Amino acid sequence: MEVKVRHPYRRDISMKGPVLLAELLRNLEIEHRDVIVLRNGIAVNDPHDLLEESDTIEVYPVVSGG
Amino acid sequence: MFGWTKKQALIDLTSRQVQYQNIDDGTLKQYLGGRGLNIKALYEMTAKETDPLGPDNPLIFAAGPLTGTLIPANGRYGVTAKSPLTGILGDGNAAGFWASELKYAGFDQLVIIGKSEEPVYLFVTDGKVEIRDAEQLWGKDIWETDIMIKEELQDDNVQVSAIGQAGENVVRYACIINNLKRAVGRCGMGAVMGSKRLKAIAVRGTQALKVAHPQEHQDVVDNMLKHIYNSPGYPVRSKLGTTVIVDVYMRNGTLPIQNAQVAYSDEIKQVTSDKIAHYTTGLKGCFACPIHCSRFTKVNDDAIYNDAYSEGPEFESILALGPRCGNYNLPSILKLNQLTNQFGLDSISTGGVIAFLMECYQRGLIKPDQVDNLELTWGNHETIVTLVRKIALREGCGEWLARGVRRLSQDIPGSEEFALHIKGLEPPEQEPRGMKAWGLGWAVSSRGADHLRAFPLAETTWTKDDAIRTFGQASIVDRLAYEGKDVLVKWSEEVSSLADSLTICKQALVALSIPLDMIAKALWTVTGWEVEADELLIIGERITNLERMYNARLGLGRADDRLPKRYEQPLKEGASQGEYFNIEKLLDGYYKARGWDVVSGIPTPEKLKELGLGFTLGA
Repeated sequence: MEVKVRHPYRRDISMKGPVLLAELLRNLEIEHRDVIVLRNGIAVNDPHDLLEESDTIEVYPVVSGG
Repeated sequence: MFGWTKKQALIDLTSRQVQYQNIDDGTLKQYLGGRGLNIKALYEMTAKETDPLGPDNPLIFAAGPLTGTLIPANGRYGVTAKSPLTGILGDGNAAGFWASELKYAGFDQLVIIGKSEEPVYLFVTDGKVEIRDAEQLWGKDIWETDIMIKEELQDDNVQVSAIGQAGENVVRYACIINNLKRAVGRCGMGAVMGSKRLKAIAVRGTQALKVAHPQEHQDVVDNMLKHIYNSPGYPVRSKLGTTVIVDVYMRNGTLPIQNAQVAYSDEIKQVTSDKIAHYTTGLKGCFACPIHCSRFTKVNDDAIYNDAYSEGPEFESILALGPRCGNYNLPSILKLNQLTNQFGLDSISTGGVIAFLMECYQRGLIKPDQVDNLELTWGNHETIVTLVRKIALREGCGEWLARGVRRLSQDIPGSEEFALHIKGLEPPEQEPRGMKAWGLGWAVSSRGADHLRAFPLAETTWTKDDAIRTFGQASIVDRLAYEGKDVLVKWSEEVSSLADSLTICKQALVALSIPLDMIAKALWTVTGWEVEADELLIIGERITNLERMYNARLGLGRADDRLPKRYEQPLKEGASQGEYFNIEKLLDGYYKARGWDVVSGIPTPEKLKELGLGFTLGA
């Protein structure tokens, strides 16, 4: 599974899937509230969602506003 | 100087006369365009007694110096008048393609006064303004109006800014919409337009816009594009737009569910960005904008709302017409977004009014016959759709609801503490108890409760290193802390005033942190005027202070910089549980940072003279 991390700093990682979103974030030592995680371009919001080996995961800093 | 056309058209709808006037260089350098140029005109043209719905209230449209050039995200324009909803300064701005066309037609600013006896629209093209009959357009919605004007003028490249039935019927929170779905949303600018019997302004220009330094202009555009594309916020903004803010505020527990009685509910997962993506059919960018944060949505799998389609909804509309009213039915939210676009209603105030009424109903403070015997239970989306139609058309109880929360509350004893408005304007969709800088920004905003006056994104998006580098305080990025939020809001207001006056989109300048020295260089390449980043912030400060003085002339001061009582109660659930908002912890520091009198909350004479605003003294 390809993981592109853009927060807190830029790095590209290859990880073994499937893995729960919560586990992925724990491994990356990132709090979910600090980032937006996209799976194949769509946000993943449930920590219990299973990320598959074939997924492309992107981790970006949060946005805010209105 | 280049960039500006330096032309203003003063259009008197009573006498049907148009005067063409020059705008002097000094005024342009001090106020730039958009919001800044408009407040200067509004201050000079109105008095304390000016009736917002009377002929003497000017309705002022302006683009900015960068509008129509290659500078990214320059496609906004500002609209300003005395607000019929709040009775104080009113303004709004929108992106799309209208502003650049105004520049190509040869104008920086249109000032509309008087009142036509018959419905009219304006056709602005290549240095002249024509007042045309709009009898055939009156009663049409915004989408129909856009099509009919293009057919009449036989030109699909005409850009139309119009009101729908809500503006015609002078609903106090009616908006103006261009390009079908881009809203000058707040403060009832559409009601002012409707009161003048002005249906639309169509613009079409073919005049060249010269820039001072063409080669350097291309270079700075390249650098700005590189900055935008490399910004860590760009991919999310460009893929998901503002919809993803629902996801973030869900995790922070900062949602205004059921008229801000609840800050988090599991049901919110029904309206997060991944659910909206299911209905997204394409992306859309505005003039010269590489971010394309807007999206088109269409519903085709719902029994009731299978005809819903529109641009958006943006975060604010999703929350206002959805969870604020206890509504998690996403197809209905997409339909409501479409209807508010077609009727020309501010979705934030519309949601605020309906949610307030639902809480009154929940508490037994209103009788069924006051609301046409509708079931105003939380989340009753069919009732919400019915109410939106009634408000826009002023049918039945819509006549009552068209007045806004503050006036409604005056008719409903016992509702004062949850009548959510600040200075008469219904609040946007943040939860200030869990976002302290946003709460201060709402309280001191010159147009009432609003997120875009301060827009203090740093609080929730910057790193600690960013905060220490800029403000010397890490607490800036602790959303629950009060420390440092006074200086953050002041700085953010200056940047926002600047963006709104350059008419550059804040989704670029603020959200993607375009450096101010890059903006200063961009302005130089366009106008030839050498200006430093620090001077730009002073211009932002001047505009913020003039707006404050406009409201001070109407009698406003420290006592009006308040949030409704509800926000003094602790949140009961979610990641911000236990948090409440205490404005007194912030006001003194904010006024001191601004150089304002701490007791009155009004700029001191010294501050006004320093900013070149001595003319407001004694007014």
